[in-house]
Amino acid sequence: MEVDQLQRSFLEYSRLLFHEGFLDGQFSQLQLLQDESNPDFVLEVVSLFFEDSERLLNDLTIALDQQNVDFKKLDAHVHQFKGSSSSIGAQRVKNVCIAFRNLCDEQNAEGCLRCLQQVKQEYLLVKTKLEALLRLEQQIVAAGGAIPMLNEFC
Amino acid sequence: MDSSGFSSPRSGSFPAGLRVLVVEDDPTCLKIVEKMLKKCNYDVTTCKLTQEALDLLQARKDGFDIVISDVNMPDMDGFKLLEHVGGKMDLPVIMMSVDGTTSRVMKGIQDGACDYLLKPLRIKELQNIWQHVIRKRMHGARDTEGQESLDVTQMTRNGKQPSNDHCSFSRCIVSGKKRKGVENKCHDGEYGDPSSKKKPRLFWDMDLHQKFEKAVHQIGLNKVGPKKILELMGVPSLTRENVASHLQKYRLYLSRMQEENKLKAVSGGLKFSDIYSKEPAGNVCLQSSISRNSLTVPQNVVYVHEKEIMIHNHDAKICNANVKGVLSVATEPKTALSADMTDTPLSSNLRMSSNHSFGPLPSEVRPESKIDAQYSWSGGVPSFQFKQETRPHFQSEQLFDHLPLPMPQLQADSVSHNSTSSSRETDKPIEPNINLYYAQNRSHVKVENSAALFSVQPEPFPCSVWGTTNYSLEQNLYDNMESSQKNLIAGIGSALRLSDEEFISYQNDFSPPDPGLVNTESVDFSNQGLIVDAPYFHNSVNF
Repeated sequence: MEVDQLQRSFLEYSRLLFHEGFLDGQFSQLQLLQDESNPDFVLEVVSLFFEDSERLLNDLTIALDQQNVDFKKLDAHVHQFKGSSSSIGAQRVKNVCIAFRNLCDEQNAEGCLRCLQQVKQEYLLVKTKLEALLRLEQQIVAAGGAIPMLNEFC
Repeated sequence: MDSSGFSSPRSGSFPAGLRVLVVEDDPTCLKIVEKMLKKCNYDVTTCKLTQEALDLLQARKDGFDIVISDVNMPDMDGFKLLEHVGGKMDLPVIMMSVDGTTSRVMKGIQDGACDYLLKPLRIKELQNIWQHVIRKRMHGARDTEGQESLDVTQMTRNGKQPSNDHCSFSRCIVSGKKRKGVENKCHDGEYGDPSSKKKPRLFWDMDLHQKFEKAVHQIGLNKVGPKKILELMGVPSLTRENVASHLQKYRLYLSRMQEENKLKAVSGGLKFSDIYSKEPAGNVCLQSSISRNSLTVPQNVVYVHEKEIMIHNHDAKICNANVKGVLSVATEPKTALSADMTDTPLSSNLRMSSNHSFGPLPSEVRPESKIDAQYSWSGGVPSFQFKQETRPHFQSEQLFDHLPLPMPQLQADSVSHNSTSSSRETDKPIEPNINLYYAQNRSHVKVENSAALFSVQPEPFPCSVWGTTNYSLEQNLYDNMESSQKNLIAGIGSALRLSDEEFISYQNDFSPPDPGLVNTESVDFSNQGLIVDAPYFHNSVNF
């Protein structure tokens, strides 16, 4: 594929993701941080995010699986997940986390379970999309092009 | 650190090379913040645990310029880190969290954080963190240099402001609680070596406080917010946080005052408006005859903020010192400052010092008779004793000599509740040593001839508060002083600031550096810095 074609696809796809709320301005910030000294920065951070999230989701599942749910602990996990997802720009995940925290406050175990499902779902969605986006990026770079900046979304 | 504070500046200019310590447990966030800081050309060190960070800071003292920490850390509360770092190491600490609720942010700021950033962080926010380093240095310098020369400079400076007879906040905003990291520096008793510590504290001197009050008045206390105040004040080096914390103290003080006034049913209860109605030349007339039972604190309103006791010169206002933080000038003997508000008025009032309980004023306090103080403690007002001994004395003699007004005499007697009028002994001259205390690391100024200044008479007296970093004791004195005395003191116009803890604890370490206040022995401003604006006193008394 031609570089500019790749780049166009990249931009289009990015806009779509932003438009649908999967990503927000924070993701663009990450893009801005990437430079020659750290050309894989976004990839690294996103990978970290995936790892971290999977661990957190696991912890959440375990916590909710208990007989006596420890809502404080649950809330702590959700809080952390909220933090990392917002740092990455995974907006929809973050939003579910916000709702999740409210349910923890209410000590609503059932509600929390439902929310957990929802957050897992959103996470998987954003994961897939990010992976696709990053693949496009890599292709652009491989083809010798520069990754277009998503300035409009900053 | 070198003068720029950066031990290894990059080839670029400041703030490149700023040494930042990041404390964050979330790997994603950590990586992002680290990268952002590196993009700003800062020197970044990361920690995943608070304990690790503390160890690192200990190991490399002076190895960092600023610390950024997440609030929610697994091993230790981020606020605890604030205590340790801000309090002991005097480094600016920035908190960050995804939780931006006002109460959390408030807590962070109150606990001494220089800033509270909300996640997700933007690189722009991190670009400017160097300002906190500079600010701290600036205020630290002011702090340290101010302290030593305080007595001298204050006098001369205040001397030029005859119209400033309002009590000013002491130069430091004191946050009484030790746990309040950086903000508490002035009052932490860690004053041993002022020059070696850069106190990040902002001095709320008289001017500044006046501006603040003006702004507050303009806006209206209920509608006021730190931002608006900041804008109105127009002081470039002031930060919103400074104003916010000051405002909070102020509000607390006011609410206490109101509470106090209700409690005390003293005729001259301190009114908010009174406090603010500054009457420039008001307290000059120390000689105003104030009837015994009228709570007319001529121009001094003493009020204690949460951490500060301010005595404003007010005409005919009585300051009610509340041990807890509000000084009420009790016009009546019974309404002495109550140390914990539990005691009856004056007696316990003297216990204002945070560390001291202001016990009955020892009768050692004897006013020197240089000045014929006509102020006396209102009946039953316990006389304050100032501890004069070991502190550097403020040469009050000259001062007092200038004062044509009679000096209130602080009763050297017990600050007993005025249950016994005899306790009034208001006519006893007060020990001349009016100690103007400065923070420990400051010179203590003792006003000699305080006795001369204050003659305890059964009249309400104005309370003048000197700006000090320590408060209580002086407050106490004030309360116990007769109005006339208070007037005299009011003339001094410095604000006593009592740190909250001090105030409440009333331990005996506090010795008020108030020219009109005599320190009781029990009062020992050990770690408080009472700054008495001697010059202010001088001038305000306007002799």
